[in-house]
Amino acid sequence: MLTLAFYLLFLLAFVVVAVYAERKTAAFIQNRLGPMEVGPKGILQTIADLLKMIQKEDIRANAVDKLPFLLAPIIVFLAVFAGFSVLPLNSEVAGSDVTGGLFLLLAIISLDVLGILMAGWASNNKYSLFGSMRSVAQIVSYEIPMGLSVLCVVIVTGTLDLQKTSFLQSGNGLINWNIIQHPVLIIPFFIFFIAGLAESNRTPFDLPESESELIGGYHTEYSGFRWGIFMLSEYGMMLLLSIVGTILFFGGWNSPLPNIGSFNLYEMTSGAIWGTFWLLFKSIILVFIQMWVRWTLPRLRVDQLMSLSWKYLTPLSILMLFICGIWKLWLIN
Amino acid sequence: MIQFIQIVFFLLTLIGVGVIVSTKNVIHSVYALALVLVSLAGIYVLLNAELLAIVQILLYAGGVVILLVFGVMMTRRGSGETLISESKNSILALIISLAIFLLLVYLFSNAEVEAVNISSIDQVKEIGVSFLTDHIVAFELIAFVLLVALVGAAYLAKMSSNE
Repeated sequence: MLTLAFYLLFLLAFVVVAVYAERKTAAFIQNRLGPMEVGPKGILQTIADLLKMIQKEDIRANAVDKLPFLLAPIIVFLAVFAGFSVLPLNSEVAGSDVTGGLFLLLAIISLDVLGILMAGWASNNKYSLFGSMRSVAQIVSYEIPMGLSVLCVVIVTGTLDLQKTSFLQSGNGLINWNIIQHPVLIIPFFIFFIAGLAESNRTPFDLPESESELIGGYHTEYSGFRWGIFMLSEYGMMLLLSIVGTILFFGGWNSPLPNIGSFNLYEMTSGAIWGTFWLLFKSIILVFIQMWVRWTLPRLRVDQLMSLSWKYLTPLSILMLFICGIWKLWLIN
Repeated sequence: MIQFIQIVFFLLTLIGVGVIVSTKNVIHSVYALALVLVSLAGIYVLLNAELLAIVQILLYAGGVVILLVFGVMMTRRGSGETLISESKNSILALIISLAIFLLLVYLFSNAEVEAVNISSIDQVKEIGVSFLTDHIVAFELIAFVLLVALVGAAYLAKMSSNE
């Protein structure tokens, strides 16, 4: 319960900062200045935008399918946010104690497809419908490589509990991280990261909402606060997948600093508050890489998207699953 | 508290079932089906069958329902027209469902099911081990059937794109 309350507050604060950070990153990559007007260096721009968004009229076209139209953003957000319930925060605060927490997380975030479909269908608009159909095709296809790459970690660690996965990586700083302790997990991490971009509908996989062809896709008809919930869920998904990636591959809440001789750097930077800091710090670096990718790569075509998932990522992740099995059975001991 | 949550999930299931049966808009009944499946998963969690709940969400709410919605969207006739299902043979349907209901009541009231305490065992591990030991034949057969279905679907898709 405590973890969930923390993550809700953190998510809200994160979105405000991340939107600003994203615009600044984009501006830097495109050699512009980005938001500069509100506050010093434009730092209050997101807050101004947020105030404007809340004041906007809640527009609902006559021909929409009323109840699904109103429920869709809430379902999308709930599906993403429910995923946070199984995440640990530090060595003392674990998430929900479900058998197979990781499995639950993958199951529950796949429900956001339902909300997206609802939004697209209820909007009664061809662009929205196209957007949500693309989104479903994309998310359903990329769930397979994502699930398989997560399974590689599960094979190596032998647990579905994210807190146990974190404990397995504690000890001597970054030497004990899964990705360094088990180098066979490097390729699964890249598969996980690419599939994660597709799951959160980010460029280069933002076909469901591609502004230039679909005017925003499934959230074309939404305005003001309801649109804001979609935005919140997108950033929530980015953060969620980054935290999961951190826990699975980069040591979770463990400090990256190793002990050097008698200088106990690892013990000095461990503990509840340090743990929370390291988890969120490493996750935010991953979020930054997601933004970086967004502003440097062009959008894929639909057929390229499908062939990337089915012809490259899925066979590769099945192969990696096999290799991880061999690694676990014979090479580790 | 747990009893209260159980009642809430139970009511949600009932509402969902009511909507599925009463609404004529096909897409609404699919959404209601999703509600029923997720509420059932909630009841499973309260009964300590966590793995079953997760599988229910993953396969039914995340898989089957999405497939249904996708199917409805693909077969939408024309544009701007809502898909309405007609109620035909309602008396026959009533008789059949009543018969199935009575049969189930009869079976369950006569069944002697031993209560097993599953809250203390590692469900994922137990199920995994029994899949690969006691039920290996069924497990492999299902895998084979799924493979055949996959190959068949790919073949059909290729055939229709060639024409």
